[in-house]
Amino acid sequence: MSSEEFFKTFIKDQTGIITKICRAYTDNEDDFQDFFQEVALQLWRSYQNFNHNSKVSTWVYRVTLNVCLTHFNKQKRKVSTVTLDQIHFEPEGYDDQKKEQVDLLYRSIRQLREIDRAIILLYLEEKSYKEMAEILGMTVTNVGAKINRIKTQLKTIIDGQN
Amino acid sequence: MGKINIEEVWKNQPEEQATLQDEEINNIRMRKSQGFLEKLQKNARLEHYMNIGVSVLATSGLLIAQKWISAVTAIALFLILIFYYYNLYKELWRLTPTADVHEFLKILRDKMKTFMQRYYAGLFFVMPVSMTAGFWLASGGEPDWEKYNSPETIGLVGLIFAFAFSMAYFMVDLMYGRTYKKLKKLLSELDAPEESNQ
Repeated sequence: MSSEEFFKTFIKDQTGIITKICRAYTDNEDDFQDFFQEVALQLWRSYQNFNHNSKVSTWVYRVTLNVCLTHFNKQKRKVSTVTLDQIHFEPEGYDDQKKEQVDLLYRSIRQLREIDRAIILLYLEEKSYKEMAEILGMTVTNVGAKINRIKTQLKTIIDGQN
Repeated sequence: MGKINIEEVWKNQPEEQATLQDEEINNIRMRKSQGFLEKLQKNARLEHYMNIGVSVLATSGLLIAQKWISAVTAIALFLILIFYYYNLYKELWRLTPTADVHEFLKILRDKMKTFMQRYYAGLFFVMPVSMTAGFWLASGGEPDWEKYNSPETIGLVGLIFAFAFSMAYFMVDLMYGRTYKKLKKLLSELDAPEESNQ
């Protein structure tokens, strides 16, 4: 399989993860498209040099978070964004109440500080403290301490909106 | 809506399905990056090419004018500058966002700092030298200092310098200042220790 073919399959497999993280960093559809494409592009570029020293998931989370955290000029650049009609859609069985809860959760996450969002996203993705520390470049102890504080903060935000 | 369990809501959210078409993925691979790193890389490349252009022009001018010592000095200085930019440019193009978040932010912050320091050095050294040289050349190499030795002229020159410095400082801050502060803020959030009683 050529690297292009492999990448196509790979991106399709990772769409869920990338989408979740990008949604936590923007609620604007244009920005979302921009974020998603930038992440995919950076994954493609760095894929050639990926040396398997870390887990594939660690690499994907690192690239996605790094791109989202450093995408500074949101809502200013709309040039050269390829239109993707297919990423965003609601799968069947997505009832109103569930949708409302998920929207509330994302809305609340977006009110956290940007670094805190990264930490809570990894926590919600059930990453171990060790892997979170590897992705974020923090100590395991600091990860644990931050999670407790961010969870409390997130619950307070949700309760305030509920 | 009642109380929600964040872990449950997250876990049970419907997965976005992989319905991207092959053509769309190809288009993504071919698109130009809009990222901040790309902007830094492009700036370094542009400055590198501009340095080469200016070096060739300036050195050619000195050689045509048969100013041999000046030409040799200029060649030596330009070679150092070009070599420095070539390394910076190569270093930036090797960067990809695959490092851990802390390291990546730190690398970007340090690169930004280098960019800003270089501009400020240019601002406080090259600009006064260029302005003085421009003044000297405009007077045909023989400025009549007595003519300019009045409080009004000195004040006017001071004003021009102050205005030029402010504009240049503002431009550097506009180009990189906000981003640099943002990077510093993100890093300080990552580094901040949590209170033990939480």
